[in-house]
Amino acid sequence: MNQEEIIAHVLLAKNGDSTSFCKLYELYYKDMYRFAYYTLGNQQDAEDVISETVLDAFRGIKNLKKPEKFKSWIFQILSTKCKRQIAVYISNREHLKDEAETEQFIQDDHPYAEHLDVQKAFSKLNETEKVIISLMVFAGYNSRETAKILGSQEGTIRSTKSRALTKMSQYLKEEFA
Amino acid sequence: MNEQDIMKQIDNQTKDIPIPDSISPENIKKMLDEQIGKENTFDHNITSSTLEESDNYTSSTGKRNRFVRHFTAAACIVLCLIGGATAIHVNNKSMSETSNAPTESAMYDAAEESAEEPAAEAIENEETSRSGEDLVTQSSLQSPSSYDAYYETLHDAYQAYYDRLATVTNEDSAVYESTDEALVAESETAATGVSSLRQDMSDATNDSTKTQSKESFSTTNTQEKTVDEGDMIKTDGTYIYKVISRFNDNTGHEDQTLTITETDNGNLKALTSIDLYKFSEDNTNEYTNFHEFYLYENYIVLLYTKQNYTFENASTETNIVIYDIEDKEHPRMLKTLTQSGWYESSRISNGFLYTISNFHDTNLDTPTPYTNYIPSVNGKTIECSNIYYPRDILMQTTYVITSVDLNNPKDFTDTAAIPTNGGQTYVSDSSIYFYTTLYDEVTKTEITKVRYDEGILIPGENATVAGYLYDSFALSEYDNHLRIVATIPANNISLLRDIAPLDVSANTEDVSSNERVKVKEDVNVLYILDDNMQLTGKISGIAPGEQIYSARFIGDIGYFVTFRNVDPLFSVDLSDPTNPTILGQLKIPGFSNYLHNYEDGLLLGFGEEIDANTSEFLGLKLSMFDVTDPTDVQEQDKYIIEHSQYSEAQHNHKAMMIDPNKNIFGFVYSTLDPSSQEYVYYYSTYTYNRNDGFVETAKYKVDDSSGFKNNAVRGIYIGDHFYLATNKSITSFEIGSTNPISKIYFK
Repeated sequence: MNQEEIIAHVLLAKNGDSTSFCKLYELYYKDMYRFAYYTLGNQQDAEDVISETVLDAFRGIKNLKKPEKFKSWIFQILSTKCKRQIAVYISNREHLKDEAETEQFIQDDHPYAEHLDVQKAFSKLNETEKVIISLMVFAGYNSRETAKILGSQEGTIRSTKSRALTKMSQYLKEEFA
Repeated sequence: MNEQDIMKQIDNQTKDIPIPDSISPENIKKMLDEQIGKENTFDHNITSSTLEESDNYTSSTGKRNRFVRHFTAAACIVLCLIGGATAIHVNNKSMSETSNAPTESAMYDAAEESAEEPAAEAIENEETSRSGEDLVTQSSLQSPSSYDAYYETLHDAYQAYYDRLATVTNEDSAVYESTDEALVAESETAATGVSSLRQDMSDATNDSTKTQSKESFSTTNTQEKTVDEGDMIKTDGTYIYKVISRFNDNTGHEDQTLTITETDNGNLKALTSIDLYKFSEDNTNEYTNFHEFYLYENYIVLLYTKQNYTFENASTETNIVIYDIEDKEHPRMLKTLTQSGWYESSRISNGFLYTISNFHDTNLDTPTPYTNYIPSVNGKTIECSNIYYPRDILMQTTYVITSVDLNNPKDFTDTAAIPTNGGQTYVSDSSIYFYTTLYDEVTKTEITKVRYDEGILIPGENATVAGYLYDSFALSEYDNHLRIVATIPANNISLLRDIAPLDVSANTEDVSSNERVKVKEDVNVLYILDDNMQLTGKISGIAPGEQIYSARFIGDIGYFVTFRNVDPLFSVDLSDPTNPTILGQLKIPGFSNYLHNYEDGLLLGFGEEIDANTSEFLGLKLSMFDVTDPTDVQEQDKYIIEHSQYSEAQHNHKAMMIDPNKNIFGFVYSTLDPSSQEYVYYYSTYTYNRNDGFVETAKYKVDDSSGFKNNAVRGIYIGDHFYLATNKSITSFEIGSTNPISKIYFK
């Protein structure tokens, strides 16, 4: 879909056309899911934040002033939702304990076991680092765009990114060694 | 593995992750149609009743209240008119609140008021009922009585946050629809002083005791004249000190080395190189990241972060290493001091080094060990009396600030640990400010103030202002007042009580989508806060639709550049902190990323030239503004660098060598050759005078790969000589000449 088609679909979606909205969603939902899944580390919660994001985005799309910014806008909503969910995890220690047990459980016969390495490396990151890496890897943003989405400074994004990647590569190295 | 490779690896390994069927486009469409269909059935009734009720209102409460209510109603009507079918939950909210809605005439007034406001001009907000407290909130810091009490406080804060989140999620997101909540709701009375805070100290003296040298030489370009900043190169007028980092093919890591080079009028001689970090196979768990260093008297102060990874645990520590370099050929390591966390920033002021690190390994699972949530200095957990937490303690990290007396660097003079979000740092000659922009319902910037005097740290207040700051030059402390310029994103305007009136013209009937964009644009605000971080004055609504690109405060006058397709340079009179006023503005094509007070009445701007019609980038640009009369600023001269693309100096002031007294400045930049399509890096030096304008005195090709890296290429001058330093070599020239006198390569 080219830029003009995207804009056209956004304008239709602004008028309440759910078909157009879903055409746009189709372009990005895989990356959105990847983003949510690795940021949250949990399939069910990832599905939930995606649904919430879609509902909010569809309701709010009439306020989107730059149709060409649809992608960064929907990722902005998604990252806010993920941040909230992470805050829930932090406060809810029970959840983390359960998580640790299920992680052990799925490891052996999980059909996508290789994903677990990256996911585990991800779990070594703090909240900010997760969101930044997700935006840059899964959504393909550069540090300047990421800074804009998160309302942060480019320099901070860059340094956080390299800190996070250092952590991850160290972990992966150990895993594969 | 470099960063690109790691990112590629992550990308590849996660690409074919199975996507649950529940979020397939088909199922999502089903969900949307169901959900929205349900809402639509109510929509019409609510819309019409809201309108009717608004029409009939006659009662009103206090003026402030009325204004907010009024806005809710206005937003509601706009949504009904334009938004059509899907405005349900905004309507629901306003239903319960419109009982205090405005009279019809109040609405009319507001619409008229905003219609009068010219779109591109600065608008002063004078209505007293709309005081600025909603744009700025202030509070104080306090210390815990014991580690356990601190644990309780932290733990409770997270618990409360969790409870609050639970309700927010049920209520649906308020983020993307306008209500009168958000920042307004957070407005609270200013906190009273807390007894555990230390006594306020008198202002620091600014006398610097630097050694005098016979010849003039360049120093690191700093934001504040009397506050030194670290860099990768320093000179004392005789020797050049440089830290180089080079990729080691054998180990796949970067080695870092400190080098000392004698200059002797251009006859370079390598004296010493000290290995700071070399990757070793014996200790793969340790990783060192070198950041910057200082030269102070006979000391070199190096700052780096050391990370230690084990399978279960990662620890991160900032190291301050002091070398005695009295004997240049045999530097002696004097002292190593450590503090928890990743190195963030540092300054030297009045003989004291202030170092800030960022401790983010907080873990609240259990009350002990304390090191899980309390950082340490020199391996010792920081005492309660040195922990200062804000009222809203929810934080991502704890910042550790230390001070060291460089005239007697035995141990830390003082320590403070502050749990806050604060990411960036601005340091004036008497205070350290942390600031960070929070992306929340409203984009706002939290600023925490820590006064300092002779190494003693005095954590003070904390203020939150609406909007984001483009970098540390957006802040300036002068005469005990903090001046701030911030940009407020368009989608926040309706959430802020104080600038909401700007938005009300969206209420007009036939808003074509274009016009709507016009009133829903970013705006810029200037705030002035007093010593206690209380708002004393502000100018809001500056340059709608543009963002701040650079700022410089020179005494009582502030200059800042905003940009959309032309560059207005604003000058602001700040002499009365309760009444800042815009003096003038000048519109020119392009924008400046960096402003520097060149000499009296001249302000240098460095940025980009942009075609005002096509928005095409035309190259890097130097501008000299005549600011002799701040009410009538003129662009005296401009100079566009041929084929230029980007310069590190646009975003890192330390990459700019500049000395107006010597009339020299220079920086590294990239060029794109239009025929060969090749990127080439150059370092150019310039002079300026009113008759000839800008003159490029020399242009040096950066002949190794250092140009691609930040902090790798620097120019300095000593007396009549210019030295170009990269990660591989230093070359000497007469100033203004491109004939090398001598060149040394780092081993």
